[in-house]
Amino acid sequence: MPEDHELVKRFQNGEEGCFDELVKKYQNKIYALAYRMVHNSEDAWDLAQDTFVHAYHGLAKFKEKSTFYTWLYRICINLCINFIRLRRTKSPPQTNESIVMNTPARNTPESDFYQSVLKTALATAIGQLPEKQRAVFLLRQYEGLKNEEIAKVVGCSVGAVKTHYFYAIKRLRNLLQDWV
Amino acid sequence: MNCAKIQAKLLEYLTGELKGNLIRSMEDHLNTCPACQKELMGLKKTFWLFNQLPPIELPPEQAEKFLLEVRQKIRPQIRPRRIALRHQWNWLLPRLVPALTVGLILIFFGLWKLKPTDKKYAELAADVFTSPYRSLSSEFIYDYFVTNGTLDLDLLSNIENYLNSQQEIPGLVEDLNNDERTELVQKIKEML
Repeated sequence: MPEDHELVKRFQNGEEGCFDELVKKYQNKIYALAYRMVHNSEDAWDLAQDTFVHAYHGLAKFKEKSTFYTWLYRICINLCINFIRLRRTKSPPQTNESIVMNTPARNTPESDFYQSVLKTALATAIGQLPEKQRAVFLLRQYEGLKNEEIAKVVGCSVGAVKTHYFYAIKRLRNLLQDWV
Repeated sequence: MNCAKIQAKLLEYLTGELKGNLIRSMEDHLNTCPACQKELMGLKKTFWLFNQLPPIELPPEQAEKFLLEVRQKIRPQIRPRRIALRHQWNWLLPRLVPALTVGLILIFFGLWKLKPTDKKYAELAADVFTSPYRSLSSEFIYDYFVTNGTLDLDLLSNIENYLNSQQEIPGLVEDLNNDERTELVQKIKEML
């Protein structure tokens, strides 16, 4: 598969199909990031699509000061943060009580049940992180980005990324203390 | 290093961000400190938990649908050719618009400055026609108007006709010596 910068250049020169290649290449990663940010599959679906729609319209101005995928992550994170803030104004954030409410039925097989409860607990704990901490944590933990790349995506210094990550881990550890 | 400093560095230790000397002193401490060992173990368990989340991927049929829906959301009127053109002009347009604006402003003020207003034009004509020095040559009148930024051939022709029909006025030099319009007087003297 051609490199990102080559696809971007060709798209900018009018090869529409190159954008489809970029979507296919990154749709899983962007959907996963959006899902982990908002913890809702329908919202994640829309946010991931909106990320690519924004990218399509912004690609003509993209000058490759950063890599394509960090730029794409940045769009996705910004959309998710805006979405989370908007959602928060419409409905109050989930509290620890909702972890109990979201746990699946007891008749699930034991391992699936454990996995499902853990997944819910983790997602709920991640959902309680402030938006930037959440973004930094997810980009590093699940997307494997380096601190320098995360700084570009989130729009802060490398030092701030390290601080966000430190406090995210600390907070998650406290929230998940029953599991560790 | 004491326990507080060690525990503050545990995350970096675990994620492999520490340098050689620091790693050694951390490990020396960890080998002898049960409290910090417990803290490290708790951190490792937390990371183990993080890794229990399964990877999230779109199923293949959803992946196809995803691209189609993205395409539907993209406004159809923006065609790739337009995007390519927009990209090519992208660097020029933001510079071209202010440059044109400044250029137009300069041209406007330049013309305004060079071309006398109607009032100034009328004053010039009146100055010549009512001047006691109307016997002066048409070259002077020409110079006078050109110097002041105005050259109206019809007017010049009228002035020439008018001046040609007039008699020379006595006392011209005396009048010129008393005239305060230095530049004009100097020109007239040169013509005499």
